[in-house]
Amino acid sequence: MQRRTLLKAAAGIGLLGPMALRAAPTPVGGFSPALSVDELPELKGKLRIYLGHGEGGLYEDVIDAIRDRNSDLDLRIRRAPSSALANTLIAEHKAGGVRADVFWSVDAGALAVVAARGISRELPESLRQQINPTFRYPRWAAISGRVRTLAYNPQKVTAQQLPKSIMDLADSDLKIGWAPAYGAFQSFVAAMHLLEGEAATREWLKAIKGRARGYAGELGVVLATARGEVDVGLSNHYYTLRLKQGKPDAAVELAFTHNDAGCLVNASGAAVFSENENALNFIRYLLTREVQSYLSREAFEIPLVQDVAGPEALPAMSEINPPRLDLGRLAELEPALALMRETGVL
Amino acid sequence: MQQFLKPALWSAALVFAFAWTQSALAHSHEGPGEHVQTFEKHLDAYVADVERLSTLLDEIAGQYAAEKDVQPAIDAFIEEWEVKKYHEAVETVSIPLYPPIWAAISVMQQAAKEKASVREFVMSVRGVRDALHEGMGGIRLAAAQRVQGVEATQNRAAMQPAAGQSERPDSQDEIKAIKAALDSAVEKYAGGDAEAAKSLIGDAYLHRFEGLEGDLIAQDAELVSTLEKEFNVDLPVLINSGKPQQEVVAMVEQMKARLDKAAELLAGVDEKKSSVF
Repeated sequence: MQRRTLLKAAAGIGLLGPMALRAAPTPVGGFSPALSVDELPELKGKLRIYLGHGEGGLYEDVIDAIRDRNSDLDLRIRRAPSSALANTLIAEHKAGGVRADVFWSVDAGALAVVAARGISRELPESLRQQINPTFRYPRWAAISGRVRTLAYNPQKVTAQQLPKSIMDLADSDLKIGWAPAYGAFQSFVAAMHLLEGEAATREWLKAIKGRARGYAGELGVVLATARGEVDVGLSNHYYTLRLKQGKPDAAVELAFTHNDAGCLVNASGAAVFSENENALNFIRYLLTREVQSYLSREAFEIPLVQDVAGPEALPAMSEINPPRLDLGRLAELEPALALMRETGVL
Repeated sequence: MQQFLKPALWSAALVFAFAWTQSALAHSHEGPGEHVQTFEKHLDAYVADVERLSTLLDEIAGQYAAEKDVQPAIDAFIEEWEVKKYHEAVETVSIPLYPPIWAAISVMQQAAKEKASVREFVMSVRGVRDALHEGMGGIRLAAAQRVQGVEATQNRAAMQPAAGQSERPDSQDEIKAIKAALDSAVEKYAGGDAEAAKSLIGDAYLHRFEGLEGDLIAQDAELVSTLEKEFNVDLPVLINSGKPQQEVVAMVEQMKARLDKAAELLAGVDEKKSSVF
């Protein structure tokens, strides 16, 4: 595929912002159209999946549907937090053999940990070509994305009053809500640490801490924003969209910073560990138009294949401008956590 | 990425998401053996397994102190641990306490690989032993609950067919299980076992309630947020502070009332969802 065609295809699904288009390397082999589930073989026999908790159980719907569609599939699921499953996989590998065929994780970092150790298999190029070029990795497949946002209360502050840089939020006089103990927030701080450096991140944490109100989770942050307790909250996009689904008049809207950790696009993903052909085909199911549409429609996740629209209420990624960052590096949480402890945020 | 297994990161992970590192494995991948179906009758066998494994650990520690290569002994330990009935039982019955055993084994391996001091290595060995005993404690707890007629709150696999097929839990059953777990936590707290109480609460949130959040947020986001805070902050803080039992009971009753509301809201939600294919 010619580069022009490739970029057109990538931009067509709204996942490459201007900076991404400038910075993206030319992918090898192009960007294949998403398949329909009707084009995939039936899954038969055994398949063992390690499933990371998260997304409010909506991944379970996908698994149920795949099971229902493949009556001869003997599907066995092991559920746990993604980080715990990564540790289990590493331990099993050390002990002589990974038992999972597939690891579906809500957290790219957990996948990167096992991939970096060479535990997961390299994915065939034909499969990787179905994934947006920005999110291609050799040993795990990105399945769906989520973006960091500024959730703001339009009755308290206008979009124009919000900073365009997450770092500038520290210099604003906005009332801020955050959930430092939340995993997604900590990945965001890890991204800031990687992108801006230790000193800048330390100063940002100190400055925000002085004015931020803490919440147990990011849903709480979004709700507090809608109630007007804070002007702006730091959260993943889907909490706001889920809230608005139930309460369309909720006083909360989404805004995005530009090309920094504040608008980082993170991803869920899956890795393969065995020669079981069901494993790769299971991932192909996850990348079908049908599953990607479902995750977009019901879980408000961002599709990572061609020709599948993102959540209606979410601006196209071409209107945002996420930073380019190897998501695998977000597994290196320890420096970020150390900074958060040092500054008293945790 | 080696630090992924180090105790420092495990400590950090404890902060990472409240009780998220109370990790659990909800289903056995190959299906539990028959003994797991009646695990409460096999406690003596599991205890014997733990004692045998502890003996091996003592030998490993002794060899390390004698400056011998302990890797073969560690490999042998892992092989034996993998085939013990206790392994299968803790994996399926005492679900949250299974990954920490593997993690402790990895820490021990790492300590040997990095040629840690004898003291540090012995500490790592002790970590494995402690993790094994904690797993046994979890099995005992589940057995006690079963004997009392209470569904073991962490045990879904044992309730599954032996083939280990993992069916998605029904939301109404999940709510009932969460409420049962909260009641069990109160009992544990009343019995002076605050850690077990917190473990039950954390597991109920992580392994059951979180799976309902996706559907529930659109129905009543405030309810979800309130429960999220009560599971992760309010109730653990009461327990950590050693508050009188009646305060804990009052909080639990409040949560159970909210869970009843959640059950009402979730009834029929599945029918409203679009299909995947």
